Amino acid sequence: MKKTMIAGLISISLMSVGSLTADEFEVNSMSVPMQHRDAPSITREHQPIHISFAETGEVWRNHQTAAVALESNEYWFQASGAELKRGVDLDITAPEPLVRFSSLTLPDSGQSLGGNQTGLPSLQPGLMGKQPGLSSVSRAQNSRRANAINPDQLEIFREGEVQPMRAAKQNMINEAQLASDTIFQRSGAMKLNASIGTGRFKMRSRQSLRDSDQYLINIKEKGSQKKLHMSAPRLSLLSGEAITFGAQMKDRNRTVSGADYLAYVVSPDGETRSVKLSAGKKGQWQIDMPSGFGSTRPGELHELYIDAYAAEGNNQLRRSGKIAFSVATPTAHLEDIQLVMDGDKLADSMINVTSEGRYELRGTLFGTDENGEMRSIMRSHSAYWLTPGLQQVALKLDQKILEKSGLKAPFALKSFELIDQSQLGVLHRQAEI
Amino acid sequence: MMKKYLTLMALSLWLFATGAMASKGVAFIHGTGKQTNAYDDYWTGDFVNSVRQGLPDSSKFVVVNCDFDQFMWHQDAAGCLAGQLTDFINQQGITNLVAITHSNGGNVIRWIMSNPTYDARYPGIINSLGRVIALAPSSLGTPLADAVNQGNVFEQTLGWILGYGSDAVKQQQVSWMANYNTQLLYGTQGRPSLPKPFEAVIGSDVDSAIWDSDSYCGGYQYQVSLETTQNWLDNCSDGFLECTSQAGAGSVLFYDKSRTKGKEPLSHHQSRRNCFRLDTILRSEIQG
Repeated sequence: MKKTMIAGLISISLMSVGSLTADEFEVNSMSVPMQHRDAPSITREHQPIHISFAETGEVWRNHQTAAVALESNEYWFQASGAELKRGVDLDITAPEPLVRFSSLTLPDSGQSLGGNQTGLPSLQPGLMGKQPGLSSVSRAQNSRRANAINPDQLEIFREGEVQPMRAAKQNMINEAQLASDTIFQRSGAMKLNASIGTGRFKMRSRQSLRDSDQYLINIKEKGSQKKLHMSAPRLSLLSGEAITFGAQMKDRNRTVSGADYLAYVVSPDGETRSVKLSAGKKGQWQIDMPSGFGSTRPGELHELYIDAYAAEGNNQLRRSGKIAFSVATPTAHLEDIQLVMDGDKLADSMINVTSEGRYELRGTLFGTDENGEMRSIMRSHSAYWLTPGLQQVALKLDQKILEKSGLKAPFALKSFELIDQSQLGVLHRQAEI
Repeated sequence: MMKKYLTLMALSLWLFATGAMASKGVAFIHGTGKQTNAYDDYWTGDFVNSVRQGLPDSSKFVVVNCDFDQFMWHQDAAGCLAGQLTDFINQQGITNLVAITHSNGGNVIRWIMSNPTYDARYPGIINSLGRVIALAPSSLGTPLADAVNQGNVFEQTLGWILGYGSDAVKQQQVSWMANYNTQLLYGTQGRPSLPKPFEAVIGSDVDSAIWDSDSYCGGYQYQVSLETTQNWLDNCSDGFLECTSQAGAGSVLFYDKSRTKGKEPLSHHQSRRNCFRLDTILRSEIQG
């Protein structure tokens, strides 16, 4: 066993505000084999640092709830200039939808295209017909901006009719008006009038758009109770682990029957794969992350996109949403951890390290009050630069905070985490040691 | 003479005892964007010079200039912020730092407070920090950022980029902030608390009526733009962020209308300007 040299320790105690709960804590699967981290460490900090913050004496709770729960009452799709000139379908299920159209920028000819390098993703059967814009996009050769769409030049048709509807649009915002907000450059927006009702419409541009230019069209049905509900029990994965998530189209609290769901995963570098959904109970799904999928800059997230479709008479209810996951390379394995409470030492851990880098232990110390209830004392952090091999490292506490708390044994270490700071990846989470 | 001397001594002791002798300073920390002159371009001198009058020594302030187009942990973002705050603390002998952040600046300082062992400079900053007054912080992200990053299969696969889609905009998507708040950041519901107070000022609406002079504070064109983007958000929003996002980390210091002149709302642009006495409210906050 190799004992790590510790030098230049920094220990600072700080008072904290607020409260601690641990709703989202769970044990990560430790069955994933360890791997080397390909990328160099994002941090060059080599100094061991120990720091604890006082907690406010909250009673311990550990309710298992979803790490994330999101709702969407919007959908989006991509369309080319040629398609916009011919007209693209808008499925409207709630009055006064918001429509936004953004010009996309095409890459330099020498720029990496990312992804599978073919320019064509692998798509599930049936998808092409459902997603306008996916069927006929040609590859751009030069870097340039697509011309902005002017909402004044857009026409709205009821399906099957040849004359555009009068007074279909309101609150039109052009590129110049939106550009003052940096987030919406080269975009336009409009609201459709309540008087046109719901159903399938066609939106056509009278502008001389280039056929190959690309646009992102976003339709938000604000206030609609028809939503795609998404959830995930946890958002941090280790390479090779499957994603479990919930996705259900609902009309208020009622599940919309007969809905189809399509899913894609997108890596931080833009590589995209369609994925097969395995259905579980009550709107739960699982997908296997594709192996060797994309590359990741530290801290960047993989995205799971979900498109949902359901028939509503002759109309179609459409919703899109996404959940962001972190996928960490399992560069170290927590072999053992023991609460010791010896001097400034809170816990001793044994970590098996495969990739040199900076690793941090975090945990919350709880003590017992006069009524026998466990209450939080402090949140402690200890970080070390570690080399490959078995490493024994301590999570340190702050004795002043401990004394000030007035709490006594029995003590407990809860909400424990092992983090690889070199890739900003959570390697291990445990509700209680 | 002796009586005067004793009075002065007593006054000095009282000042020391009440902490007024502690060296208080203010740091203005901008939001998304790469700033080289945030004093003029992001905050305006009028705002900075009014707020800093609340300090015992109004010369003890710094206006941070960093690249917050990067992810919060990036060396040009949190690393740059840590460098400028550390220099300010050391050079001015600051023992009680009030950080006034706007928008995404709140996330960058929350990164530092949540990851104290990531950089040897972070503990010193946290130790000196008295409080963060977070003006319209994007703590839970904004659906508007999701909207510009919602590239589908083709857009992503071909490597096309949304020209405005910086890393900071990616980071502030609702879906991404949901992840970061449960993995890397403290202060949101169900997560460990932050080591120092993080108090949010919430902007709750946007006025852009052309006949209303209040719509012109900070620039009428921004109000029109934000009132448009507000369509994509909850009814309680500042045109860029929903109130739930602004109130998503730490505690709420106040909702705009509860303290602004005329109970006017603060749009996302106005929450960094001398609008409706925001500057004097902040001045009194740093005095307190």
